[in-house]
Amino acid sequence: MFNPLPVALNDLKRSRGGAAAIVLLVAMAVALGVAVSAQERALRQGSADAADAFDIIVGAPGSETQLVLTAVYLQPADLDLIDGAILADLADDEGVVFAAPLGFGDSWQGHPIVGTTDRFVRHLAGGALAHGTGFARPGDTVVGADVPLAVGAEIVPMHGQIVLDEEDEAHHGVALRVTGVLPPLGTPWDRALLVPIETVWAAHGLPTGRAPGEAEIERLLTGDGHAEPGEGVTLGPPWDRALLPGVPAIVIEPASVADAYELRQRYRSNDRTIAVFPAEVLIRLYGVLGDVRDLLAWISILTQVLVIAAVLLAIVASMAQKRRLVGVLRALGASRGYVFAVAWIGISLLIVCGAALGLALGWAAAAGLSAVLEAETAMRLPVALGWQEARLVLVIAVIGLVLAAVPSMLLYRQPVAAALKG
Amino acid sequence: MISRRQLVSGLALAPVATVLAPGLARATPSLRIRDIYLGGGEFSEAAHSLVGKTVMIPGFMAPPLKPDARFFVLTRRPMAVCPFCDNEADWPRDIVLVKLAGPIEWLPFNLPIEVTGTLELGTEIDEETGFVSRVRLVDAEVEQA
Repeated sequence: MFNPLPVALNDLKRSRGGAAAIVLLVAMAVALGVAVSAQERALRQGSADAADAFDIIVGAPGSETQLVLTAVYLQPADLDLIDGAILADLADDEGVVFAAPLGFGDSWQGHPIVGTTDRFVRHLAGGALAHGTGFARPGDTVVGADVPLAVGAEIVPMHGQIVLDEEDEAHHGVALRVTGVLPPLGTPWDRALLVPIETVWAAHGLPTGRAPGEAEIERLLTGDGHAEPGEGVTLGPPWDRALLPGVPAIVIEPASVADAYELRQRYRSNDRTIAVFPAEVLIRLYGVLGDVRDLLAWISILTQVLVIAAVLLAIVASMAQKRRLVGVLRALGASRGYVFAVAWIGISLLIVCGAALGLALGWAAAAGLSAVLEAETAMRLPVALGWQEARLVLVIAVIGLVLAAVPSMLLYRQPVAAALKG
Repeated sequence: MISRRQLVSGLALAPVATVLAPGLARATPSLRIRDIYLGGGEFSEAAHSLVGKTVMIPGFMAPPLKPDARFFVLTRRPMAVCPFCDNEADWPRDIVLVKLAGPIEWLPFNLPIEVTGTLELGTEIDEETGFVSRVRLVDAEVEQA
């Protein structure tokens, strides 16, 4: 007997419009499921990567989630300060590789300015900076890869995150000079400007953790300092415990796993601070994200079932058109199996093409959504199709192939004479 | 094919097997976390004798240090989730790093679990995360106790 494929293809060709509509319908339903699944994974991956440089965060008692969102993802929030002496305690702690303050609050053209230490800048960069050097003088600034400033640029920071009146809100006299650029990190820190924490303290008229340097820093920040480089001003730890002002958050790199848990416990078990692993907050958020994904996955599965049911119904309804074809085939001596094969291959091709197109559409939708979110958050959200999405498409395709047998069987059962008459 | 005779003898042996089974299950030696560490950074003899062997250690899952890591930390007491017990600053340093073959399913941190894996002692620096650990269970499996 002949190959049933050309007959099936020919039949599809004749009802091109309907076939295309069916493929699109199936593709849309599959794409929804694929996009939800791939996007959820991208969000997890992106947020986990962004938290990689932050092992433990210590902040004032309050929301752990807010502390992590502000410290790791630079979401603006008014965090309470914690006693600066904790910085001195941590610097002396054997279980701490480094403890860096994070001072938020100021900004430049919408880019957050974060006060910290040279050690943390290098930790964030994962080694060397892309260009330039770290902090040597109080006005030195290291910018993230997405900040439109090059080494040598000079800027005036704004007080607060939202600027209402540039004249009023500028920190008068505080001038920053870009000395380094971070490599692209794929995190919100790509948009940040990093300055020595002493600069943030001095700009707010606070002590700077070191007695003799204070006047010096003040002088250097007032712009005259550019004439003479800030030699002799020491930045970063060790600080003088008595002269340390408060900080909104401290990020700690522990020496060992045991130290990490010990530090977490120690800075949680008092009423002045909380300590949190960003990972524990993320796992909680992933739990919620997972629930949302499961809900959407169920909706998408139901959609797919409905679409396939609708497609099969449409095929059964259009069987009248096919009667002639079946009649001719049978009259030519085609077996019932052959007629079944022609009908089944035709329907199956539509469903398989729809599923494959849906996989591509779903990937495209997830990639598009990632691009929008990346532009909003500066967080890299890598979309990749994995086994989960492949399984989803396979299941739908197999269910479709099995159900396609129903109208095919209805077709080959009809008597030849009746078919030809139609 | 199973012959009738084998089937019958199998049935006859069934009561014996049930008697033996608990013994077989206990063939995996268990070790309590408090029995691993001696003071001053030393390990106990019991721990030394089980290095490289499959061991079951009961304990509790601690909150994760890395969201996408394939390891978690096993503690002998649950990391406090109780507001009345949260004030103990003497968090013990005796922990076990558990490395799983597959991805982790995070369980409630106050649920007792039993972890079975190959025991490793001594300081090791994790390549991926740079974390230092002293006691590890590798290729481990987690079961609810």
